[in-house]
Amino acid sequence: MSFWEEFISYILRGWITTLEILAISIPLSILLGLSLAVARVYGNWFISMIAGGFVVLLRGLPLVVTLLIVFFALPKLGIYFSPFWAAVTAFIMCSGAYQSEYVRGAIRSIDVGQSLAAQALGMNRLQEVIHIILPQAFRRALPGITNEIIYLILYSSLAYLVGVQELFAVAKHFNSLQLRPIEIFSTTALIYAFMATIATLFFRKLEEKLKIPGLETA
Amino acid sequence: MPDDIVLKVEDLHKSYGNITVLKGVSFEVRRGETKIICGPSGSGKSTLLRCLNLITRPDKGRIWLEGEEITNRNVNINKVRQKIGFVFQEFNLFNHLTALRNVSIGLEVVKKLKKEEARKIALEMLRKVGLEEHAYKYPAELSGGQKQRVAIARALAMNPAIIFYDEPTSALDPQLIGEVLEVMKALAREKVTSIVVTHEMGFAQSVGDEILFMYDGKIIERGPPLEVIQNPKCEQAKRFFQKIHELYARQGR
Repeated sequence: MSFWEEFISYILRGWITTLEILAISIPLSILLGLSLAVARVYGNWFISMIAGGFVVLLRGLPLVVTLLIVFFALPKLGIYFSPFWAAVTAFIMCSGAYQSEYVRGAIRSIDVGQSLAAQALGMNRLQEVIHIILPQAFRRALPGITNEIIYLILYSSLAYLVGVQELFAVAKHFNSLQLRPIEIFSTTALIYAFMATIATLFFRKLEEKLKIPGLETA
Repeated sequence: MPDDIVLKVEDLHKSYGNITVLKGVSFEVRRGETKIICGPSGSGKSTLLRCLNLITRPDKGRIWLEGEEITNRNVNINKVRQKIGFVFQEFNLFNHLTALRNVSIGLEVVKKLKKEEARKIALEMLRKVGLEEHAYKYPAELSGGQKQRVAIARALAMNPAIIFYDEPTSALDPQLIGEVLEVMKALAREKVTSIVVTHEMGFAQSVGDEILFMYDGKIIERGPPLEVIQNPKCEQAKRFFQKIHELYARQGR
């Protein structure tokens, strides 16, 4: 087998693992971000404090440390994760914490009049948040969320630290066998850049789709 | 309580910190009646409306809506609000929804009607306020007067027992006020029960059944619109209507 044939079959396996990590952690991190933001803005003091504490804690830790805690420290407390799920869990928590701040800011920016109007129609808080507030807040938070998703794509490579055979881990290993860093790492870099570009385009499309006619300048 | 009394308010009090906004307000609204509330700013009009649909909790006093005491702690506030239409000064339309969805969302989410059914009612309401052809526009694509008419359609769609209007034309350019008042007049003539906080004295005279003049948290004068506006008894009302009169004379209205 030639170098390239072998390399491609290697790297594809790693890439698929990376895509699996992302396919789970991107939607769940968005969901966590929305939930944390809603909990902080609308929760009673207790729920709001828990959510706020979670965000402060997760933003205060380097992702590497979070990842190692999830993988090495939590088992001491009886919570076990496979390398793959340890990485996914750490990524969701970290990205969700950051995303929640964008969403919280966006919720705060929705004028209180719409909230009053929803209440005046007889909506309860949950109905108001789901049907009136979040659709608009999500739209406003989207540029920030996009940023976090791109980070997430790039730092998914940290999963190699706990032994996940993802894109970067595979490339690193293959290089130790072949010692051709230029080909191996530039190809790896291109794949990350490709994923980041796809994400950028996807979220730009989404933003376009969610645009409210007449409300914003083109 | 006789059947034809939709809303009864008894001795309502409300303070914010050490500022007392309402100092004992009592009145009744009969079915089909259009009650006008006016008075200088800071007299407690908006607070009164907000207390009446429990967006703000009154400190003291009782309110009955269609015979049910809604100031009772055990009452489901959301159920009560379904029976009260509220039209805000600043329209407060939902920016991310078309005019049609603004009107239908309450029916779908709160009244749990099927989407198709809600849509039908919403279209009918938009027709009523003359905006059927703008059904698929978003609030930002509508003029102020159109927005307020959508807001009225939104309130009407819930088939409320009473509609509150909180200075519905105060945020509008003068040339847009007329179209909103026309819709409100038509509804008043259809005997849609309402309380209207407004300074539009022409409107008050043509469809109002009674004016309540508020001053410093109390109703200090009340009576048939023509009488109160043309010939107010108390000093504060005299001054107030005089000022309104001068303002309108200047605007040529």
